[in-house]
Amino acid sequence: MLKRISIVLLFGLMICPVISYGQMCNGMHHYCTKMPKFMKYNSQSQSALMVKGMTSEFSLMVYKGQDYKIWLCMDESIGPDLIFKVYEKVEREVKKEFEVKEYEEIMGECPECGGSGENDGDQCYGCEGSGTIGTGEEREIIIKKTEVVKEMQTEYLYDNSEDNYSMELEFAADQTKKLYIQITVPGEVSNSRLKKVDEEGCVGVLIGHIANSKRGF
Amino acid sequence: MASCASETANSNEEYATEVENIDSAQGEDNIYYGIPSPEEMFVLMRRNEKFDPSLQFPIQDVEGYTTSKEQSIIFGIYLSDLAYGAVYEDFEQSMKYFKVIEKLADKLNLTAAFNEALASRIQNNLKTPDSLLLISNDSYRSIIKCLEENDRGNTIALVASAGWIESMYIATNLISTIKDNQEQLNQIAEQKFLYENLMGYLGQYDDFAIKSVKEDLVELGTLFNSLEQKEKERSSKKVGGKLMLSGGTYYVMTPEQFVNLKGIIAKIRGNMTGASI
Repeated sequence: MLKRISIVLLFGLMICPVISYGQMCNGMHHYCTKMPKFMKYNSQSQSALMVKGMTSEFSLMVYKGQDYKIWLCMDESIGPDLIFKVYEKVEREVKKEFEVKEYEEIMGECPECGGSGENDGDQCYGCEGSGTIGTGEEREIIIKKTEVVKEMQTEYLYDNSEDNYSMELEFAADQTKKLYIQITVPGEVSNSRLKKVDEEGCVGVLIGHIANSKRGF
Repeated sequence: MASCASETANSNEEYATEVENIDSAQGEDNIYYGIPSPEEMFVLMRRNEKFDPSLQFPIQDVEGYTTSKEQSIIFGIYLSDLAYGAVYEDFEQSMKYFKVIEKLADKLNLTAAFNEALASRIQNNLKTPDSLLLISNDSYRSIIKCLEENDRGNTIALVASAGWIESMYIATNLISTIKDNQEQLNQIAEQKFLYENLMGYLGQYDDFAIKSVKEDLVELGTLFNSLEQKEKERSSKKVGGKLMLSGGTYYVMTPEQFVNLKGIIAKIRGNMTGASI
């Protein structure tokens, strides 16, 4: 791995003399693997500096009619495994229960009848039975209501922790999609402002594509 | 010396601030945005429509493009034209586009992206269709790599925006009949996904050149948001080692919306390539 970084740095120094240390992760994905000749480089490939415990994601547009392959690579300092998930954001209608504050009038006993008359609006009639009348005061009540709302939900399509922490994924979609690639570096999240060298490193996500066509003779 | 340099040297950054910089480069919702190269859309179009060279932006003297914004934009437009020609295997024109792109690469300080090995591949292999497409893709990769490694994301943003507008201009003009052609209209509607990513990418930069491009693109957002959204049941399963993704969200575009979109795209392309830059 050290050798790879050295090659990257040497190459960088030869042609890009102003690359600073801070830019070292940029373009790391180009060095993840030698892509098969029949595959084309996809310009949505990404690289980022990550620290242990960090999750970062990017959006990837994939066309129907194309086969894609993703290769992951990282510096040894944050390896050997990365958690890699693919998901879609899905707008769904969901029933949401919510509480509404309302006010209702406090009812009192009919004064004229000593609480035993019948109530009709503001008046009390007769002194038989039990009657109530509005007191003019209000109290707060909580009413539960249900409403259908649209909500963006995350639907996971792939999780490499269920696939032996594979660092490669080949996929195709039957319709054009906007996917999200989520990468997590396992480990404790450091609270220190100054990150230690062995807690951080570069992560590269190289993507290749090829138009899918009929295989065989 | 061959160069692939940043526009402003910035070599004294503090190591400790590095992680924060990466974080702040993300969009508001903490997500990075990928922009596909124009070639992917043309590969799909090739299945239905014939090559029309009149849709490519004519090769002209690039000396008139003096600012880095103008040069980046015309560079993106020509890269898209090259991809279009390469997908349709147009050797002669592609050679001319390679030459003008090389000239612009020099102006943009990207000469290392067009090294001798690439030039020799172009000369030797241009008459093999697959190679033409591969070389076009490799040169796109080489350019983006050079820009990425030099932290020139703002140049990538301009190149990608112009490249996408040019590919949309070609795609919308390639569709000769809109009646009973819902599949292709929906193919154009799918570009809503790319538009969202592009706007997200542009949103990471706040320099004047990018802001003005973003403003030009806003009108497209209104149109894309008016498209009817539909859903097909989703599924994902591994078949023979390959993950097959089915269903999901898709958009439906009416012929009226298509005509409207075509007009907006032509207007933006005119702004980008014309005197108003």
